[in-house]
Amino acid sequence: MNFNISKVKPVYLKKIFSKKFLYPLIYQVLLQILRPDDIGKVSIKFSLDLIKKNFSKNSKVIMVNVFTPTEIFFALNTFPILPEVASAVSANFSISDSALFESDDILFSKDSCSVHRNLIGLIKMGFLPTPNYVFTTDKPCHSAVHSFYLISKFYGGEYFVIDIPEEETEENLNYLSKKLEDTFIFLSKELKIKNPYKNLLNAINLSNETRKYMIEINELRKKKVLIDGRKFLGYLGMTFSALGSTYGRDFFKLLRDNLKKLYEQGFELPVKKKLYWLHLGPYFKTDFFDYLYKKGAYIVFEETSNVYWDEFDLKDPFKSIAKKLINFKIFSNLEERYKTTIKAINDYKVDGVIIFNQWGCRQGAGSSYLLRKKLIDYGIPCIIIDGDLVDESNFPKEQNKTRVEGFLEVIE
Amino acid sequence: MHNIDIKDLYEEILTKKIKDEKSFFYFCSYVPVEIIHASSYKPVRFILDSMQFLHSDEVIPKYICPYLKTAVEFFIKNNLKEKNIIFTDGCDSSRRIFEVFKELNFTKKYFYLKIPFNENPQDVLFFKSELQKLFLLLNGKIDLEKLNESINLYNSGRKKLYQIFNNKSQNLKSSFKFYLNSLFQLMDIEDFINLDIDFTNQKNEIQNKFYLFSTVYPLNFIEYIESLGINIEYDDSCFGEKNLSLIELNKDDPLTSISEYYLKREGCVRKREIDKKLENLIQRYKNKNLKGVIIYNLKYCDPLIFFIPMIKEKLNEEKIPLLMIEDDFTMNIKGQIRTRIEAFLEMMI
Ligand code: SF4
Ligand code: SF4
Repeated sequence: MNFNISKVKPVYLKKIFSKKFLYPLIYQVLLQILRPDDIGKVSIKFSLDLIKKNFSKNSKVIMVNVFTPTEIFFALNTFPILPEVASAVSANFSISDSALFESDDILFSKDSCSVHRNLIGLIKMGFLPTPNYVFTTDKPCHSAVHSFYLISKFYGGEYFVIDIPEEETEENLNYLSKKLEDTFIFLSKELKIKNPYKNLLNAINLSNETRKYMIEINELRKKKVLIDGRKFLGYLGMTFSALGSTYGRDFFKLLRDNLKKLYEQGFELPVKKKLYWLHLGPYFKTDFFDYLYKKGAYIVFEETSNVYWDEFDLKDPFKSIAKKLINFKIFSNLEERYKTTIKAINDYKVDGVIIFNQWGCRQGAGSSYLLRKKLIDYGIPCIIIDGDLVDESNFPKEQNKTRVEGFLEVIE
Repeated sequence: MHNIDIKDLYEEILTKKIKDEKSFFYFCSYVPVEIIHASSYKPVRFILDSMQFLHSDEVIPKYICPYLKTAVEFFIKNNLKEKNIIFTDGCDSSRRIFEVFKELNFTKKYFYLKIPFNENPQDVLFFKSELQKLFLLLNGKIDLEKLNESINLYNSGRKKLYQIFNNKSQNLKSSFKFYLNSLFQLMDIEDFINLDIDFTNQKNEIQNKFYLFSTVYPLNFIEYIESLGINIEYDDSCFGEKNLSLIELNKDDPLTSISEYYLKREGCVRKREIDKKLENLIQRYKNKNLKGVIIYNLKYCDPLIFFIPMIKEKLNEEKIPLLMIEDDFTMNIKGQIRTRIEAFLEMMI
């Protein structure tokens, strides 16, 4: 069946989404259309429950950026929306063209990250609900600090920024963990949640469990190329949105189980060239990756799949979360990115590195030319692909294919 | 002192400052010059005229802040190395430029200053501890007495400039005011305070007075638009006139005074208090009886890109004429700027 969600007006979607009794039916329809595997089913269930919770009457809509720790929101029985993830998903459903067009009327500039331009368009069009609260950290980039502020001013929602210090010192840990706890207390009062701390421990446990599966997945991937790493650029939506929930735990557990089975069956992809991928990748439909597979080139690991944080301490959850935030290693600085790349090159026996530069992403692309030079000096072939995560018109596919072709020839 | 003289003076001092081992450069208005001064260094705001990007494109992508990119271009072109520089996390470009400077060996002594977006008491404390680290790095110890002296000196400089700018009888040319302000950010503060300023031939003859809103613009922008009949009466940019407010000094705790001041003053588009900022803009606009607002829209400057929709909406509401000029710091679009300004002025008549 061919179904194009971009043709459905948001107002009709909203009407459908507000009718709770329709959800089982929608779920079945989606299963028929998308024919997902087990883990796909978990993410569909997750998305539908997220929509159900946020589009129902009297619900409190909370928006957070990709680095805001979702654990503290699941503990408050809320289902945080990550507009940046929604922006990527919308590209997959071909909605981003119209959303970007709509956002041009507000922003008057195409020079900032399209993920954020797109999410403003999504709210304007009604694909995303109007928030009651918006939370963002000042990492990985300031785009959310700015775009979320604009959202709160134009569409509503109380706005909060969580400042993340640069270094892990006792003073900085205390500063940040207090901020996180204040946020938690503030929201639990606003939402009148009883026993929030008990729920928090549950969320932290779930997050720790998920982390364990993620590590196991990474270990399995070291042994053999069991799965095409492009998929992980998509799974990242779950890493960002579902930590601290049963959905996150179930998703990564199933993924671990599937990979383990494949490994035990002796399966391996027909890989000739192993690639490490930095930053994100195009989220719209493209045959760019098929082109890589045809050449036997597979992404064997990605910057975003690094599990860089320690298990959370149940006795001091806010401090452990603060520690994770301060020590983030994805979308990080030049030094950290270099170090994690070298580690991945050795762990996953990588033959070449691809850095994806998102147009307008100052934070990600700013020092990418120097990173490339450092990696080449280290002795690993490296190429930068210029493109866009959600704006297909800004992804020179053919040109990139030609460049990648040359690059793959260099890798032996 | 002629208009040309003040410009020459600026360039002459800048050339000297670039060679001076004691110079400490910075790009962002959150950098506390008082701490640099109290550490016996000389704070120098690094801003250049527009230039073509011939070398920097090889080390940074096109869409990084062009203001910062001119500095990279200049360093490469002049083979400058090992300068003392303070960077900030003011914006994403500025965070990455820090790494570029380090990696290319442009820095000797350097500091990366983290600025919180929040301004609550715990954030003021946090910023204070960042300032403490900076003071220790530059001076080896926290010398409060010296810091108090430096605060007083800079307050005197700000006072001097404020009085000149607000002396109605003088009605100065905007390019002259602009270079005076730039000198304040460049010269040794003692020299600036003692600078004997000659105001002859600096009177503004232009009737059309405007409000300029921006983050950063190239040095020659003001002169160019002045030549087209635009006088900027109020410069609301990162280093503009609003920064002439004074530090309320608590002599027992000057670091907190500085922390409060830099975090809470009207500041730039990075601040999350847009309503207050727009209120100030409208009030100034009305008090000064201006003809319109000009936005120098620096390409690839995210804080500005996301701020413009809100300012535009407010100006619309107040029916204030607005002209937006988008440029990438190169001023390559001079012809376009001329046409747009002429049309804008015609519309006003
Ligand atoms: S692509 Fe870059 S600018 Fe855009 S959201 Fe991600 S990190 Fe931020
Ligand atoms: S705020 Fe704007 S002008 Fe200032 S450094 Fe950042 S991008 Fe450049």
